[in-house]
Amino acid sequence: MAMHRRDFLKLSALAGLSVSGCGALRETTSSQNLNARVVIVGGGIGGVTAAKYLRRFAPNLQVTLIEPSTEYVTCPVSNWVIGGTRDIKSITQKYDALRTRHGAKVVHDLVTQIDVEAKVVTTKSGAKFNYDRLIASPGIEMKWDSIEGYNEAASEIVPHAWKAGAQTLLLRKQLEEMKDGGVVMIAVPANPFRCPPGPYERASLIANYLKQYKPKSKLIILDAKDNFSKQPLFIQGWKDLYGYDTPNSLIKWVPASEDGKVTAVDVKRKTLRTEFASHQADVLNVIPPQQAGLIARQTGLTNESGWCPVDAVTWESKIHPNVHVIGDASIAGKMPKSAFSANSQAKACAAAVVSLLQGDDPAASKYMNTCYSLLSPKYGISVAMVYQINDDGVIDEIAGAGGVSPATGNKQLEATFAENWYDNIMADIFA
Amino acid sequence: MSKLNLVFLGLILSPYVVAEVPTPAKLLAYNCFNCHGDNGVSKGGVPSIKGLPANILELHLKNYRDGTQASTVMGRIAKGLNDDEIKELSSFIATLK
Repeated sequence: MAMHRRDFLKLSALAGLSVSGCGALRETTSSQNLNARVVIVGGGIGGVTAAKYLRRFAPNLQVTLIEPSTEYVTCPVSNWVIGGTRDIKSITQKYDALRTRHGAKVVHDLVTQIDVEAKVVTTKSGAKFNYDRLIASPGIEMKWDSIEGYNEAASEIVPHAWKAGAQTLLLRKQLEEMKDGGVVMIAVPANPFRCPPGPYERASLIANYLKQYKPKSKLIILDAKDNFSKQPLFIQGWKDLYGYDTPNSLIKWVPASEDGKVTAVDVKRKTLRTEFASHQADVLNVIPPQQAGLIARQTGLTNESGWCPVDAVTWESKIHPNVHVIGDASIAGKMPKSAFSANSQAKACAAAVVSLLQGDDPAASKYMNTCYSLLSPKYGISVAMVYQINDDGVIDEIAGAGGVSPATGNKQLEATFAENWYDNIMADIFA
Repeated sequence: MSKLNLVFLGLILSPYVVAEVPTPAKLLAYNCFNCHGDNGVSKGGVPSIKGLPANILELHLKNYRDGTQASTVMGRIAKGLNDDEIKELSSFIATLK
């Protein structure tokens, strides 16, 4: 692929002419670049995109991605599995192409320590990996016990399903086993959290399932906020599809201002408590508040917000040099915590890392995001935006760009695009 | 020196690291793959863009941006791009093999 490209740059001209493996030259900058090693922690959307594009931009770079799982069940489209219109196999991605097609090393192990001084990563099995630069894409972790009674053990009974896989299947199973006439309840956190429109897409696709198979049932969203992503389009869609705002509405949304914020969960009794009331459900889905993945916190990459402050051009941590953080764990200005964002960030981060290894100044680029949501298999809506870095070094929306689908937009076409988008972005990452 | 020779030289002097850091406009082009597929080859109804002529891409993007061509999402995205970016990313997509 590199042979077809213009603008060849030598990552390390001097090193290229030196004798490979010559110990005396190892300490110089150029010989360090010769054997430049980038370790990527986390094999989700951000990590895999970064690995692939690092190798595309600098084919001789030594790229090692460390991820415990041997396959990755994507959060995007996992709501479709919960709604019963897609199976989990179709959203399970593999790391084979990263190894065979792109030449990255993939190690299935858990990173237990990042020594930012020595620039060494240690894994659970005791293996050690030196790096010149590290890219962390650790995703999210739940803030257990921020809702009383909701911890990791409780999530085995009442799923969050906010990391895809077993949790997705557990929620699906509970919906299948629920009697007609049952009540499904979803507790939604305040901002920021992974996939801002996700809870409302989930509510829609569960409603779609109930409408077909358990039409006497109801779905109630208890929300810790008063506004949400693509709200007018969701409300319109719920009116079009699920009788919203009528006495027979399948969906009821309770905002924070109407006592929607969930403060406690009793997983055995399947009840949710808000400030003034207690709610009984048949199937409960609690999406708790979130923070950056554990390794980011253990490494001290997070600030008081629980997320990782980074440079908006290079994604290098503002706390620890030579460590970059991308994806949901990062503080990315106006960019939402989405797969598209993580992918857009990973490409820019990969370019910046190669620039930095060459000793060049990375150039600021724009970023993009597009998020589709399905309200039924044939009813899609979207939000899109292009971002630039403002004078304060913060990622901001470009005035006049982006926005949501027009109210009169073609919902069926956008539903098709939503499906295309999934197949295409997954090929961009995993193929 | 031809590109092929350059690469060949690189192989002789291996490990000789050649790298191409994409310009900001090319990075934007890589963002197109998110919807238009791996290296611009789509698997479904969203059109493939790989290797389309630069002038055609440029014209469509400007028409989407100005609203003279209807779209679902492209108009919203093109409004975030300036003329120079559209020109460079279109030229780049046209060269994709």
